[in-house]
Amino acid sequence: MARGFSRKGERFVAKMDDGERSVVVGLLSQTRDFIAPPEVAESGDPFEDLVRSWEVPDDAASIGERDPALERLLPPANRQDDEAAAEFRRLTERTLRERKVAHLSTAISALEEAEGGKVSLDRDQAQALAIGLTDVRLVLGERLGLRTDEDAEALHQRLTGVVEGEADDDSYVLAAYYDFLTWLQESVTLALMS
Amino acid sequence: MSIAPSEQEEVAEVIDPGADSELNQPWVTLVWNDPVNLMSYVTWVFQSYFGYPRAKAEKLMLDVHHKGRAVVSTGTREKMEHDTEALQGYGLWATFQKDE
Repeated sequence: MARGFSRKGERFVAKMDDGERSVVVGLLSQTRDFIAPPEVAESGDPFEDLVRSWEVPDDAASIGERDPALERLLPPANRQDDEAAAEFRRLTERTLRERKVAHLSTAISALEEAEGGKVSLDRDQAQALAIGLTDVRLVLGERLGLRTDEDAEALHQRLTGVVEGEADDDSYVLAAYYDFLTWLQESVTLALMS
Repeated sequence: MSIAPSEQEEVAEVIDPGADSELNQPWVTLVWNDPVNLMSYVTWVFQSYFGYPRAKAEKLMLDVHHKGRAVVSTGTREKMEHDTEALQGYGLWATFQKDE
């Protein structure tokens, strides 16, 4: 059974059994695969490759046709000016996705190193975990249809008053994972601020 | 020699950029409320990225939470785009726009 993060000097430690750890690593990895920007086949010309890496398949108008979870991770940056939002996306999307992937990779490596049910992170790893878990929960939240603060509260309530047999339901499992990750992210964040 | 008042005003308008000038108009970074982001995490981001003290970070977070969104920084367009990118990196729902 997991015990949340606490700060011990400049280390951030928690207890997590192998089953829990593998669930968290699995979700971090799936999210990393989801966020990773598309590969740009190299043309052999470094300048051309650089320019092509700036191209985003969708313009601002068709962004809504992309996966809504990706939309939420990379929302239009200017709600009043579509052109400004499109330009921002062109210039920043790839870098943003790469940075998110880097945080998730740091978190995954850190958790994979854990032994004997004990997780011990340095500050960079703890920060990467807090940031990475945000992106995982944003994707899960989108899949669970969380739109308002009330939705999130109702989800939590539903889990605590579970009906027998409901535990087999896919959306229940997703909700249970979401709840666990919420607890985990809260604990590492509070430890970082302590 | 003197200049008639109306001519004076025209000259003044030409040479004075004024408050409506594109160059002078401040821009803002906004963070929008969403059901996934934790209050603790949003507070931590404001402390970490902006270097705001805990009390100011908490107040801004509560503004986001209760009002639906809050202005978290102001300045040039370039700076606001930079802040927006950084905050999106943390998973916050951040946007930039002209200050009204």
